[in-house]
Amino acid sequence: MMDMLIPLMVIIPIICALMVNILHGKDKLMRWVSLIVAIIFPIIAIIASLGTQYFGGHNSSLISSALPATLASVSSLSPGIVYVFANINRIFIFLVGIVVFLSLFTYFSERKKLSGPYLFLIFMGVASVTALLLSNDIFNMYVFFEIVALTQVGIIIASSSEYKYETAFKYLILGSIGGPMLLLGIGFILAVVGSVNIADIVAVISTNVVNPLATPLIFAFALMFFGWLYVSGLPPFHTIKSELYSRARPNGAAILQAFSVICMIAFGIAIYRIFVYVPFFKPAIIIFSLLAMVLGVSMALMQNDFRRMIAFLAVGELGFIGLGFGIGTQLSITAALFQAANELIITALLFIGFGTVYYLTKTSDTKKLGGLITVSPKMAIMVLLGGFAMAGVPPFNGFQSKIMLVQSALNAGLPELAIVAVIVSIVTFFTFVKAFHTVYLQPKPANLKFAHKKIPAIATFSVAVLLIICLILGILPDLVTKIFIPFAGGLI
Amino acid sequence: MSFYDKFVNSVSNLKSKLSKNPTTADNVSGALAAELTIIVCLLISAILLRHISVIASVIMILFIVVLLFTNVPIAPKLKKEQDDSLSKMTFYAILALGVIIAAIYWGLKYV
Amino acid sequence: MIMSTQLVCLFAAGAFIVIGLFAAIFIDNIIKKIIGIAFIEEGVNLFIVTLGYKAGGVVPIFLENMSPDWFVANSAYPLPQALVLTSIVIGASTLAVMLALAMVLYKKHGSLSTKVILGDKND
Repeated sequence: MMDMLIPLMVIIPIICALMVNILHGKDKLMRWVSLIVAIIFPIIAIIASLGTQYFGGHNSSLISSALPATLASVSSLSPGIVYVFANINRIFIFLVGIVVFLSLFTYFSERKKLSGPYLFLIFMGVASVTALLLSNDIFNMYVFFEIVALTQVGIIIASSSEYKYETAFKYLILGSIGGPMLLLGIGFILAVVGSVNIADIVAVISTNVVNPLATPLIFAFALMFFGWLYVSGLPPFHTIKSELYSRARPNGAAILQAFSVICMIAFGIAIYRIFVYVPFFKPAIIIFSLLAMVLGVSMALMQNDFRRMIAFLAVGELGFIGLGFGIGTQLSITAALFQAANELIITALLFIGFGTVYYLTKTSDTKKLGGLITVSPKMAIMVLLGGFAMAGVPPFNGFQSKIMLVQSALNAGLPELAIVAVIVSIVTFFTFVKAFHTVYLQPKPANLKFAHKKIPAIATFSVAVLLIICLILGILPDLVTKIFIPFAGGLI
Repeated sequence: MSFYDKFVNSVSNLKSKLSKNPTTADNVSGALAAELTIIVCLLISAILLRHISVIASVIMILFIVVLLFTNVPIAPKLKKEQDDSLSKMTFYAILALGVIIAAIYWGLKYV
Repeated sequence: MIMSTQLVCLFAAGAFIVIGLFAAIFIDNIIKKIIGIAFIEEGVNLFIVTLGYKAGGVVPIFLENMSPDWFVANSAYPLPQALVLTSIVIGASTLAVMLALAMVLYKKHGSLSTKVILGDKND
């Protein structure tokens, strides 16, 4: 019975997505259905027991005895799609569930009339990222990633910003370069190994059944690495990703970035498991992560739009996750996973928190804003603390993961990376304080108009919950690191 | 002319070409901080090359220093290269694809 | 020299991808850009489906009276075909969304040129 919960984690959001789409127009019912599912979803992630789900009953250990003798060599390979639910999946699915729940809650409080298709997109995206995390099959991951990309496009189109169609179109064009390259990489692996199951690929490569340095495998690595850059929004895709976040509704942006972080982690782990033996694996990841950190933070400094600024900061933070994978020790991968969990929460906090400014004034241009601390001192302080968490100020969670990353860089004999990480953190802090000052502290411009008088109490509640999670993870990092450490140990 | 004046002038020049927004102290402080971040991170990352060869690292640092002296306000130029134009985004995406494949494929022969 | 079917298909797939990338960068008209992007997707699909090709192979359905050894030696590889089917569906849906967006953008700007539609947007 408990094993059934693993596929249900994907099925329930899909069913909910279809239902809210049909219920469009019946606002009250839609609200209840989505809230109930959004509450049930993280609960399932907590209570589901660890295990493996073989779709179509293709459990290779059970069917191997029925195969003819000529097939004995492939009897351990999995012919079907396999979902693996481990503790690390539990954490990330739970965090996505929390972020989605709070964002939806805020969305409901800000809007009188709801949009069924918009909720459909969000739940479809949730189902897809869950499947991405669970799946042990790179082609299945690619399929679900494409669904995530389409839902991201839809979430942009559903926003009210001026250039939404242009942004969505650009994202689709760039996605149509990145996505097929990822698929081509998967095709090369399929050509060499004959399977798309990650465990099988790793087994075949590590036992030298195929030459690990065969040209098609190297090409596969290059193409999948490029696909990974697109999936996670590292350079050269950082501009489109940040534009994507800044054009969405702020609570939608919180969900969009959560999706991106999950995609990055899921594909990052898959690529790490398959290709870590390739000589250029770690340097390549380090180079692009450094680029993401430096470009993200320096572009954020020069923005006038605070949503764009947070979006670039979010991209810069992704670089830290990549850096952890690039250093490639147990501690650094633990730090990367921890950083991913933290970023998921903190960026959602900042998007929802700063989103209330957009809700109040309908502008995100910092030159037109100011003095908003008088409207909502509580929210201003919580956003400031969220910024501290992002920059890595103790006692918040960002501090714990960043110090772990710096420590791992020093232990690995790469002090330069530690220095760059510290510098980027400091500049992140500076950027954030600059944004905070212009929005909340500088004198209020005379011509500032308000669309709404007050911030919805639910938005304050959502930000408070996220801040509490930040604080808990900052004070008790063992809660998650005790799960990440053995996982990272198994990965290397 | 001091470095700061030179910097403010070049930022406002570039900005007036790009858009009609006035140059404020806020913009300049942001651009200056971005400039310093980029310079520092470039130089420190160049030191990373010492793991391959110390000479390469020294050459790279000298190259970066020359590059910085000739293109000083580097941050506004970088921003111009990373605006929201589709053609630039596609160009850099395909450039990255080419560089990744070339570096990984041909680089492997010399390992 | 007569090339094998598989080799021809692989070359065609490569050509599709390169032409598509070329179109995605250099062509200004968004409908043509979209066609170029469809080329990339179809090139990748062709590549994957070619992997499962086997000259003179049989349909990979195991029947009662077949000898397993003969079946293993002669059946085509079924996995790529299954994968390509899914990837075609994804490509088609992406294409549909892109064309719909092209329609909206044409209504908004009255032009199909990328320069006009996505022109200077620095704020």
